[in-house]
Amino acid sequence: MSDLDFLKDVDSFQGLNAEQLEQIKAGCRMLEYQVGERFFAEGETAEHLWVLQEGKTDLRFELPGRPTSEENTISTAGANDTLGYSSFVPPYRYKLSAYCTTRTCRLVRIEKTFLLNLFEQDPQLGFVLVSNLASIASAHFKQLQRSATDAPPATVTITVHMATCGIAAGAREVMLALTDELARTGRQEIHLASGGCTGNCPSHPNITVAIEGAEPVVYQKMTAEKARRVFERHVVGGEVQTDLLLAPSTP
Amino acid sequence: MISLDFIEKVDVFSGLSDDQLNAVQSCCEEADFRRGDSLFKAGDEPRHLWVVVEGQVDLIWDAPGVAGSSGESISQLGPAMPFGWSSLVPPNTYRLSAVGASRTGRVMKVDAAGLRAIFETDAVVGYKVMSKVLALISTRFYQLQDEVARRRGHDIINQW
Repeated sequence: MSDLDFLKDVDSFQGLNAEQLEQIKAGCRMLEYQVGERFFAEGETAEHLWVLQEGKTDLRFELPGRPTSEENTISTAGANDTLGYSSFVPPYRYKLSAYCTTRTCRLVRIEKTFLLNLFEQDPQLGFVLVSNLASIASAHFKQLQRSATDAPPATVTITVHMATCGIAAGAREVMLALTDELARTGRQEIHLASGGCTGNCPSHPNITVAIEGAEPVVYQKMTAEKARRVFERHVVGGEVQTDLLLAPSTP
Repeated sequence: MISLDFIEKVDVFSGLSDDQLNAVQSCCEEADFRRGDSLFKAGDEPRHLWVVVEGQVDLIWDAPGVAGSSGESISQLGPAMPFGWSSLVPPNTYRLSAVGASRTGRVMKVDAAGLRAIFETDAVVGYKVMSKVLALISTRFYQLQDEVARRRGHDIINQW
């Protein structure tokens, strides 16, 4: 089984026969990127079509003088998604930047000139592929409209209770884990703070998650791993982790 | 009847042979409009690819409460400019609204089902036209992205 067999399940290549798919595979190059790495930038000359095999990628617009953040994300691409159709349309520049947001992203990169040569030889292949890319562009257009009409995200404050008793129980490691998670997501509506003892020393380390419009909740006996879970599933995902609660609705 | 000379000037159909242009012509009809006439609304099921023949048409993003979308046009289209690409691209729903913007005007309506039938029999036409449709979507995306980036930029600046 070839590394490129997944291409048969990729939307951009639906409608192609086995022979046409083999021709495309001949122009594929596998690449790997790490979390936070950008593999093309908004405004750069677009010379490749990209297909994601593993991992997740954010497509973001850049704001001058500002670091990239999830706030600027227009859409998120996952396995089997195709990126870089700008390489086929004037002015042949990427409209958005692509950032790897998982530990690794494995991608196939195909040179535009290689594909254009295939289209010349086989216009039916060109018609199918370009029509599929138009559908992808249409989906991005719809996502952009939706992202602009969505309500702004609620403000979140995560307080790590860092009194001497908390630090002795491991609150510093919890704070470091949360700082790491926050940096990774780049979410500017999430704030991290340190606070005093909750008065429940046997339950340390504690963290309080306060989401705008909802009652704050306190988690107990946090570790770095548990804190990451709370961040991912409650702060980002909106689902309170009831098995880790000290007591619901107790600030 | 719309002339082949005009159809050839439309970017989406440029580069086609006379036979291919004739096939496209057989799918075309004309319609007049006046200022303020709705040609289609966002969310409608599209049956035509449209081209301005005379006058001006505005494309409007209707999302309430969003800068650039409250009845303001994101694109002003003059003669030979195509619009209504959703007729050829799934999920086949108009994403913007089109309104007559000149006192009087005329549009060419190209039957989308007829065009798709041509693509089936002649992949060269399909490849050339759909490549231009992809470029058209990209252009509209840029115009919309400008509006969204401006709005987000304002939001961020206001938080400083």
